[in-house]
Amino acid sequence: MNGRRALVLGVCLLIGVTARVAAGDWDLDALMAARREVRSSSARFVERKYLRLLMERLESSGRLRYVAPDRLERITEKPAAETFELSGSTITGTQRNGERYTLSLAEHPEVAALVEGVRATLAGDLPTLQRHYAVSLAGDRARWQLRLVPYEQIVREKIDDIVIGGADVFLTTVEVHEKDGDRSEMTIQPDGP
Amino acid sequence: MRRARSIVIAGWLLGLAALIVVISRTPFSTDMSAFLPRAPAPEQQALVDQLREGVASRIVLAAIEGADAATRASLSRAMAQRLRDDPAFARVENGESGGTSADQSFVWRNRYVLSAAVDAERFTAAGLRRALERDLEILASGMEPLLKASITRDPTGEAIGLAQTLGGEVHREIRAGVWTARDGARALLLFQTRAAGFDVDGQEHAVDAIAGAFAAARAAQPAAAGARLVMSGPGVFAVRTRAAMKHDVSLYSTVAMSVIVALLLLLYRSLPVLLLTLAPVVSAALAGLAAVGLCFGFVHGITVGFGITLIGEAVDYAIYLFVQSKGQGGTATTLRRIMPTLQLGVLVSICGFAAMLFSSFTGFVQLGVFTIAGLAVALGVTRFVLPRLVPAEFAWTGELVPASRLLALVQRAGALRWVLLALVAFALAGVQARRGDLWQDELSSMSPIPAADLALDGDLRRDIGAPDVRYIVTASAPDREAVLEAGERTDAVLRELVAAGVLSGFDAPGRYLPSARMQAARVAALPPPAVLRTALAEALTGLPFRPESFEPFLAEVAAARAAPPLTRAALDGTALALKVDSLLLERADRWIATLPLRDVRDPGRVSRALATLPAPARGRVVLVDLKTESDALLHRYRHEAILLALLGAVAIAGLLLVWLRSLRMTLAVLAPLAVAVIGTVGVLTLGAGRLSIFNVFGLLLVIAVGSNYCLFFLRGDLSGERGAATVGSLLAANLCTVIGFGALGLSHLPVLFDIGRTVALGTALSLVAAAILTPGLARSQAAGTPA
Repeated sequence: MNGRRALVLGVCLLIGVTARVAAGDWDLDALMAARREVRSSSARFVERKYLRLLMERLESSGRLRYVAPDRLERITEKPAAETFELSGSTITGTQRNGERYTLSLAEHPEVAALVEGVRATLAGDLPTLQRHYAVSLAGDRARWQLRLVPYEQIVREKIDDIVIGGADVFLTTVEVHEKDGDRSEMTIQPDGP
Repeated sequence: MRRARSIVIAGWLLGLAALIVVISRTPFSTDMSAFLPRAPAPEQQALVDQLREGVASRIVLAAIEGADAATRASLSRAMAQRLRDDPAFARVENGESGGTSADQSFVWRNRYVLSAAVDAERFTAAGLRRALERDLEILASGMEPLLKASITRDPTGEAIGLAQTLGGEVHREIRAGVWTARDGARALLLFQTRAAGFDVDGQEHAVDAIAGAFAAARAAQPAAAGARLVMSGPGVFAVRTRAAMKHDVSLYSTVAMSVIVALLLLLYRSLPVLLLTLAPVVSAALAGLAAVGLCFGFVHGITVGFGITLIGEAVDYAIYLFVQSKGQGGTATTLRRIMPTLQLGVLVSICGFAAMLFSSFTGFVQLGVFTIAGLAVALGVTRFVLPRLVPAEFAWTGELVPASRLLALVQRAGALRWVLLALVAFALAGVQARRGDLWQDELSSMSPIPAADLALDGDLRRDIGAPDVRYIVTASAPDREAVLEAGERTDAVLRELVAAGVLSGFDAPGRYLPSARMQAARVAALPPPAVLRTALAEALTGLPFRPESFEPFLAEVAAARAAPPLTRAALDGTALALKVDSLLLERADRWIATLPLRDVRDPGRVSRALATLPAPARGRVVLVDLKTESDALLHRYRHEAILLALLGAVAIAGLLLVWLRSLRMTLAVLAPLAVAVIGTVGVLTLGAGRLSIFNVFGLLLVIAVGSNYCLFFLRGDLSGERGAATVGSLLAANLCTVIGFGALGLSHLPVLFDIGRTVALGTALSLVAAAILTPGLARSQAAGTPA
């Protein structure tokens, strides 16, 4: 797709989204519909983890990439380079030493619960979200908060909730609150237009 | 006289009853390894073991095609759920979790004795420091949710390392929660049966269970109507081959039998005589089976299949008796006249088949025993029982319309000898020109598996990442510990080769069950609690970890130091147990460890590296190329078959020479047989045709049956009505053989196709050649030899 066509398409989409919002309130359906229009995006992230295991917070940073409908990539740059890629129901990772590993989401429900919450939100896939979580949305279009509380027992034993914050179609924060008190906060800075 | 007759008939019937009792107590086996050699070289033993019970022989690959991805996935889940409870399977994998938790728990509990990374340096302050720094990186990474819980118990990451080594590096595509082919069109399942590959009944049970689970899952889902199940794997092939063999043998032997019966009815125009003709055949088959049962304790299914080959010869005896009785004053007179010829004929055949008794393949020895016992009994029944079942004055009164014309032809046939010799010379030249590639040289040429099935197997294997085993390293030693230690030394060498890119991976029994010595060394590398505590405290200095978090680690290392050594019994209940059992085999007086290699790029280098290893006491470590070995096995088969056939031919020649006391008369019998063999080989190798081992055994049959024709031409009176009857009986006998074996030649299975064609063609050729050559050769001698 050349730049001009992309621009035209973007403008059309923007008008479409704006038209819909103007017609109604900012609700789950509106957020999901807006997200479904996003075919791909990339951003920088900084993640801070507060773990009981550690006396101080742990910070990492790098890049995130999303390609609709189901590909999500996390490229950590600091403190060590590694990649973590979710595609379909498989996670493929590369460690610092270059070794690769593959995980099946089906085999790791707690990991699945974490990544699926973020990915289904990015994809605007409400049915998937609602299959795994009780979903509630607060705030308005300019500043919203999506709270996901897991249904499955095996996940509830580990995770209290996931709170995704955003502005417009963009996700800006992801917070995970774990049962044992550990939590992580990721701030996301979308690459500018 | 009448009394004697009753006694003989009663004795015969009693004998048949006894044979039936013996047979009913004989188990029938379908273990194909009866056709593998009894005392092979060590490399071939490895092949035979792999074929019989190696882990590769127990794998069944299945794929669900058709319908949509979600439906395929749900079918896969339903099948797996049902089959995981089925004791026929040691392992059911479809990409879901489940079935592996026992394995994971075993690996987790025993990580300190299983991990090759465990050494003393790893638990020093410096070693622990490195591990903890790495743990921090993991906590910061995307893997944190997965590994956070294990870090305080396993900071050195032994369990993760083991999961990567044991899980293999094969990438598996998961879609809709289940294993899927890379192109997304098939859901994949992998089964490991408990039954070994050679246990065809067990494999059949497993294959049926998989098909049943699929059918049940499909029936439960309306959207699944378009879904299909395809299966592959050694067990699946074995089951299909046996079914095809059963089908073909019963179909074509029924066809052959019906045509033969119709032909004989046409000939005799008498149902009782027809039934009498079959009496020697049935007796012979029962005697053959019983003899094999008594000698071996079991009868192989293939031996039974070949039982029909007996029809070819045993049916002849009664035909000779009845047809030649025409106008000869009854069966008693005829019998007296033809008996010497028949006796010699049977002796010649037995000589030929006796060669098979020296085969190193149990299956062929069984065939030899079967045939010899069968022919002897067929002759005995023809000699003693048949005459007493028909009135002494019985004489066949039918009319073989072409018989007199046939006789006229035979009387002039000698003129054709130059034509025949020219054809033989032509055939010989053809064979000579092809001598470089006369033989089918790959074991696969004997394989009854259709090419399309093999292609599917290749596809599924690639999709599933199942090993396509060609190269394995085998280590042998007198006991389990010694072989495990040899395997561990090999493991170390292979790991260096993997790092050097010579191969991409391998498996080894020591990964699941390390030798006692290796376990002791690893436990010894774990420091005492106080020492470990001090080292950990030093390693933690300056790191953000809370020191008290690692109490579980300290406790578990202490427990590992005190734990009893790991034994094979500890693996019970895990899929790893089966893996160890298939990689570690116990033979009569020794243990063999197998290490299957993946993706070998330079086998020479692997061999050289292994040569540097110190050999275990009274044992050895070798690289085995299963393809080379299987081809070598085929060569061995073939050389043996040719040797035995030659041996049989020499024995036959010797017997004839002793019996006939005339070189020329012997030649009169052997020349047509040589012509038939050369001619048959010439025709079989016409164009691009190549010979298989089955052709060789077919030729042995040609010699056994064809020699009877020659003997009749040699000793029979070839003039007048008696001559016509002799020639007619030979033609009728040969027609039965050609029809019987020709029907087998319709099969697509190499063994039936090859033997059927060879015998049908060869016996017809030997009849023609005998008619042309034998009377002439015999006549020129007649003056000097008493009849």
